[in-house]
Amino acid sequence: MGRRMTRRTFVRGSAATALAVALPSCGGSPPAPPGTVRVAGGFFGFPSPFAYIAGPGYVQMSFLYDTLLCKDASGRLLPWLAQSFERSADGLTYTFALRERVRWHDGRPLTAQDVAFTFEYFAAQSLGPLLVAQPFGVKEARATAAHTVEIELRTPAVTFLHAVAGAVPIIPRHIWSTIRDPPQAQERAVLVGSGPYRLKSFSLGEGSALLEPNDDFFLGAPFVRRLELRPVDDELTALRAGEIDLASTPVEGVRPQALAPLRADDTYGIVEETGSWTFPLIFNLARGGAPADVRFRRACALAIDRRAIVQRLLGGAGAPGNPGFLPLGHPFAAAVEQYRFDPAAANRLLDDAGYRRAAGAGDAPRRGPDGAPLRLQLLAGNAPAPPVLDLLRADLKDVGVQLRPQTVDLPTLFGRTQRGADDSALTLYPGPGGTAPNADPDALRTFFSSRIEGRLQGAQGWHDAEFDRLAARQLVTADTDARRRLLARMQQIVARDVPALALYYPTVSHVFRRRAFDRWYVTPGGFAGGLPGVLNKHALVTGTRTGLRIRRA
Amino acid sequence: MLTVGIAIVAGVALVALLAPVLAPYDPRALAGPSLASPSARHLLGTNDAGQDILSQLIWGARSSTIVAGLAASLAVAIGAFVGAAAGLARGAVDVVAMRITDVALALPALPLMILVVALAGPSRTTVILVIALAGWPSIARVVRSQALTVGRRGYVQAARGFGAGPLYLIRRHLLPSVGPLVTANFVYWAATAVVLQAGLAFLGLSDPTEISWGAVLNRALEHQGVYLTSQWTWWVLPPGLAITLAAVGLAFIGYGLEPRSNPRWERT
Repeated sequence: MGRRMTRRTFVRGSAATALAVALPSCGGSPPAPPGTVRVAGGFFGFPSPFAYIAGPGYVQMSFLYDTLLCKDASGRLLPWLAQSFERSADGLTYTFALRERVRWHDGRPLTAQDVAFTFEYFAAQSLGPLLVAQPFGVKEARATAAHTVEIELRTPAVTFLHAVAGAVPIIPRHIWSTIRDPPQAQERAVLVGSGPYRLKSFSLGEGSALLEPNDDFFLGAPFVRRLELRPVDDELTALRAGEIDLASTPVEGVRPQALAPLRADDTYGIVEETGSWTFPLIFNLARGGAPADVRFRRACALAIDRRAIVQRLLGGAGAPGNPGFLPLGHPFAAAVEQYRFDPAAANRLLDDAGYRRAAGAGDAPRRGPDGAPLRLQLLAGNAPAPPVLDLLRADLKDVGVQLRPQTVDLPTLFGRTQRGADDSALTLYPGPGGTAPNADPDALRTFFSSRIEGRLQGAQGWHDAEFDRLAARQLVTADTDARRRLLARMQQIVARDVPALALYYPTVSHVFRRRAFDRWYVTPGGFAGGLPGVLNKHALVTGTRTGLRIRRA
Repeated sequence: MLTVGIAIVAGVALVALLAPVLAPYDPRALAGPSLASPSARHLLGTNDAGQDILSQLIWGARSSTIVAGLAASLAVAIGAFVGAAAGLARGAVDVVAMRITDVALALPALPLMILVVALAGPSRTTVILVIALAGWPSIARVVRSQALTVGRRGYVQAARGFGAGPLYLIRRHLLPSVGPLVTANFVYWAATAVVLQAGLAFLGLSDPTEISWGAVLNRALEHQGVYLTSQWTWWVLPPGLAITLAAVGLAFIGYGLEPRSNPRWERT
């Protein structure tokens, strides 16, 4: 060690190191046996079914707990804890036949009693909207035999199978029956699930965790043997630095150039999804003024160039917003008024609505019948918003509307949106709650129906009796074609009234290191009731995209 | 050094003053295609929305100058007033004022500012107020000690004996002796304000409509893949250099003024 390092020894040393690092990745060597897969961690609450935070927290929890059903890459629900189910003719009762010989992590058997207890226990709690999987609409669950459970609904709900049976984690009765305040139960001892992984170590504050395989898992030993959650700052940088094996681009989207080097490199694979997130501009009709006037809202829809947003900000990597809310290409998306970019038409609408431009006033905003300048106060999140705000401001200014944006952190944004404290809001949907726009179209009801209370985000102050009636009906309409017709009418009403306007659907890319794991997929319609992303545990457990057979390395 | 500092700061102030004339475009207008490289039309290219970066820097100088000037003035005004009052009045006023100052000094500045901005909402006024809030205690301390020294001098005691009131004493005796000190502190806090404003904008805690150097820098750094191409050389570097230049200019003025403001300068 005493040798002085000269420039030559440094160069030689660096070259040798570079060669040593580069050699293993050269040539067509077969992929290394699957071992550890490292994904981005982060603090999303305690990974129990009652203390996780939002979608990412649910995903962390889902590795430890199981659901009755589970989706694969085909979008179909596979038998998971339940090996089969029957639906009663009236659509009110589902009878699940559970797999036998499923065991909890502590070795006790998982029975119908546990399943019935799960629904009973959830129903007895008052849980917040950040808990994305809750058995809404379940009236009663009964264990009718050791491995048979009947679940009775208050009203038939077409969303029950994927939003409840495919999402609500089944919990062990012997652990939770004595716990009175489940969100506060945050000791390691309560984390007894039946899932494919067990928690070996974790640091809640850091958001890191190490998961070991549960080799007694009912399908067999999981394909991916170890799962590491690592807190990282920038996922793409961490992927390139070799810290993690999967990186997702930010939900606000990225330009293709940002991914070009990764695309060109065979080490990495990419799966993409468009439509799992959107940025809706929500008008608050309850506060009166211009946003309460449908002509103003339509004028805004005509004046905002949604195609330009995708082109300018994302270099085309996304889709312009559909006034029907569901992304175009969604199986239930209907033909609705598109409000193609037309500032002249927007100007005419605003003229008709009584917002006049003073002659020779230049860039000054229009003035309303009361003489007040036409301003739109807008609340937005501070992370993805500023570039979009510039485009909105420029577009609205062209038609004489002055945009007055304010940006705040996300918790404040959702708090104020819930209270309806602002004229309009630009939010990230689904954000911490709700289902992806490209998931089940019931999102139309949860976002727009005036009968929904306490939601984190949705239409503000907008009531349409016909919409509310159709929204309730589509939920109980099992026939797909009949439901499609109801949903089409709902989209037409939303597009007619524009209580909220989806600005764009960014393309989110998931870049993965092939050698670590290469079967990632985006679940059609989302997994666990509509979650976006590729962290459906089915892929990690089976090592395949479809079916229940575990691939062997 | 003083001359160089004054030249830099005067240059920035001039750019700020002449922003409407100098800037080739409205800094908020979508003046070109997004992420255009530097060209004759856009000397520093355009950002992700297609706004001219040079125009944003020129207008950013105005915002930075206003924030630096007002925040430093306010910090100095509060600090000088509290310090002078405590030093001259002594007794209970001194004890109370200095304990408040101690508490204010003990509070960590940046977390406090983040909290206040998050609660009060980001606006230029809030940013100016929080920077002043962070700055006044140290100025009050320095001015108080100078006031104590001045208060013990024979000619001041004589003036008191002849019935001079506190306002007279402040105007005739204290201000001339703390003047250079206050000027140096003003310069220091102006430089700090430029950096803090950039820091708050960088954290997303600024008015989104405000065009400042920090906001331009923040926007550039938040852009995914800004370092993958040469984008950073015309989007990240210029606002960073502008902030550095203004801070260095103000620091030079501060160093240049130090011999005049520090009574012990000659001896040390």
